[in-house]
Amino acid sequence: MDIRLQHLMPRPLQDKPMAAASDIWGKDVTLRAGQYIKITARSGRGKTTLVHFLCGLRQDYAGSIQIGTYNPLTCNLEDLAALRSEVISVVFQDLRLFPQLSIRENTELKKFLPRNPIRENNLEDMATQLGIETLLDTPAATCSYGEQQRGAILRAMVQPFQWLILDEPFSHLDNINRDKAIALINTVAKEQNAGIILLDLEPDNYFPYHHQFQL
Amino acid sequence: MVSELSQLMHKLLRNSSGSWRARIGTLGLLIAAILLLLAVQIQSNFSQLLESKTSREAGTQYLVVNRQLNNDNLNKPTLAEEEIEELKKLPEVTSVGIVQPAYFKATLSINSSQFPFQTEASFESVPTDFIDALPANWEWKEGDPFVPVIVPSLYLDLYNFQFALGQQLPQLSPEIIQMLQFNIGITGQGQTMYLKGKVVGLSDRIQSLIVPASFMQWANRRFATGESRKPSRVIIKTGDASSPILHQFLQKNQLQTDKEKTRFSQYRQIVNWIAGITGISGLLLLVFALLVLSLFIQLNVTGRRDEIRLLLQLGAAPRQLSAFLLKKFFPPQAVMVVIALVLVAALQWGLQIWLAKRTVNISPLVSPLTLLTALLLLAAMWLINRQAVKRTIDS
Repeated sequence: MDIRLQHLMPRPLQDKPMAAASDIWGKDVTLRAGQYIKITARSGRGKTTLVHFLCGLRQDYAGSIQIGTYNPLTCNLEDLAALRSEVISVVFQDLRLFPQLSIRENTELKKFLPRNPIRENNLEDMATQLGIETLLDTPAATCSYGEQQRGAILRAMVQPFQWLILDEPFSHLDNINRDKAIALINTVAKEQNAGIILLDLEPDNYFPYHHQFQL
Repeated sequence: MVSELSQLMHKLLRNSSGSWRARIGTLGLLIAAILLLLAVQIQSNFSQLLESKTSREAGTQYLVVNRQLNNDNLNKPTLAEEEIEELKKLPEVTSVGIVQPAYFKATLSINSSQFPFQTEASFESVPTDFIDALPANWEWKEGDPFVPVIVPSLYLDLYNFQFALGQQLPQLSPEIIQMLQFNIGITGQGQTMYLKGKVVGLSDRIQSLIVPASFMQWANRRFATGESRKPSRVIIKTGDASSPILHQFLQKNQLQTDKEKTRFSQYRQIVNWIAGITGISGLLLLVFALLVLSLFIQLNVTGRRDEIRLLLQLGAAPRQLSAFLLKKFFPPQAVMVVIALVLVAALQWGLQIWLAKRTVNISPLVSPLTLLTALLLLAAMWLINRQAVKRTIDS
C-alpha cells in the first residue's frame, strides 16, 4: 500500500527556514508500495520525528499521513495496533528492546502480536545470518549496543509488513555485519513484497533506492 | 490470547516490578481486606448479640408504670393524657392500658368457723388484654351471684409461707383458694353493701387484686366519693423492656416501673455506645482499606507502564492487552480477599467456641453482610483495576 504525506509539518519545525528546504516537510509526497526509499537528513531535521509520525507515536503535526487505509492520527487504538503489527515494521533508532527479555523472547513477542500470529520458525537461520545466533538466549540488557541493534533488526524481520522503516539501523555495526544485515533485509523485504524506508545521516548505496529525499 | 505470547508477557511483567514492592503491596492488600471484613463482621456480631439479648431476656413484657412519688406531688400523682399518648407512640410499646383504681373502701371476709378471715382490701381493674391468667368467666354484671377476683400469686405465697406458718393457719393450694367464697364489703357515700366474691385466677403479672372493669365502673359510680379522677397508673405491653429509649422516656417524665425488668437498659446503653464507637472505627478502617487497595492497584499497573507502552508501540492490541493485564492483576488480588474471608471466618468460628463457653452466643458462620462486603470489595477491585489499566493504555 502507498504512503501519502500531504503537507506534513511537525509543529516544532513549523517556523524554521530549514523545513522549507525539505523534500518532505510541507510537500505532497507519495511513496509507492514496494519501493525502496532513502531519506537523508542531518541531525535535528526530524528524522526520528517522521518515524514516530508514521507509526502513530507522535501526533504533533499539521497536514496528513495516509498509509493505505490507515491514518495514524485518526484511527482508533485497535487499528493502530494492526498498523504497527501487520503493516509497518520499525527498527527504532533507540531500538526499544525489553532489556529483561532475551533476544529470542523479544523477537518471539513480535511474532505473536499480529492478529494472525506467525508460527513458522526461521529465527535461528536469520540470527545466524546476522551473526547473533549465540546471543539468542542472552538478556538484551547484557548485549552490546551493536548486538542489540542486530537483535532489533531481527525483531523487525519476523512480523508481516508492507513497509520496513529503518532509523539509522547500522549506526553501531562494522561493515561486515552491516552487509550481512543488508543482505537479510533485502531477502526478507523481497519475500514480503515490501517497501523500505531507510533514514540516515549520510547518503549511501546500501539498497537499490527508487527515490532519495532530503529531509 | 496466544499462549506463547501470554507466557512471554507474564515473564515480561513479572520481572518488571520489584518483587519486594509487589510482596509488600500484596501483604498490604491482605491486611486491608482483613480489616475491612473484620470491621463488618464485628458490627454484625454486635447487632446479633444485642438483638438476641433482647429477645432472650425480655420478650414481651408487661410493665406497670406510675408517677414517682415525692413530697411535692403527694395525692396528685396522676398521668396526663399527653403522657399516655406519647407512651403509646414509643416504638417499643405495643399497647397501653389504663389501670383503674377503686375509689371506695372494701373489706374481704370469710364467715367460717374453721377459717375465719377478715381484711381490708382494695381493687384495680385493667383491660382484659393485659391479664395473664384470664379465666373464661371474666365478666360481671349487676345481679351476678359473685364477683370474680384475680389474686397475685405473690399474695398466696405470702400467706402460705409467712402468715399461715406464724398464725398456725392451714396452708392453701391454688385449687383450694379458688373454691372458697368470701364476702366483699363495699362502703362509700354513706352506705355499705355486701357481695359474694370468688378467686378465679392467680396472676404473676399484676401485683394487685383485679376485678372486671364492669364491676369497677359500677362500684365507683355508686360508692366513689369526690369528682372523677385521672388515672395514675398504666400498664404497658412492650417487646423490649430494657430499651434505652423507654428507659429515658420514663426518667424524663418522672415515671417509674419495675426496676428489675428495666435494669438491663443501662448496660444496653453502654453496649450501644461501644458498638457505635467500633462502628466508627470500622468505617475508618474501611476508608483506609479502600485507600490501600486502590493505591496498590495503581502501583501494580503504573509500575508496568513502560512495558505496557512499549508493547503498544510494537503493536499489541489494546483490548487483548487490557484483558491480559486484568487477568494477570485481578486473580492474585481476588485470592487475597478470599484468604482474608477465610481467616475472618476461622476467627469467627473460634470466637463462637470461645464465647459459647462464657454463655455468649454468636453465629459460628460469618454474616451474610460480611460475604456481601467481600463480593462488593471484589467488584470494586475489578473496577479499579479496569480503570487503572484503561487509563495506562489510553495515555
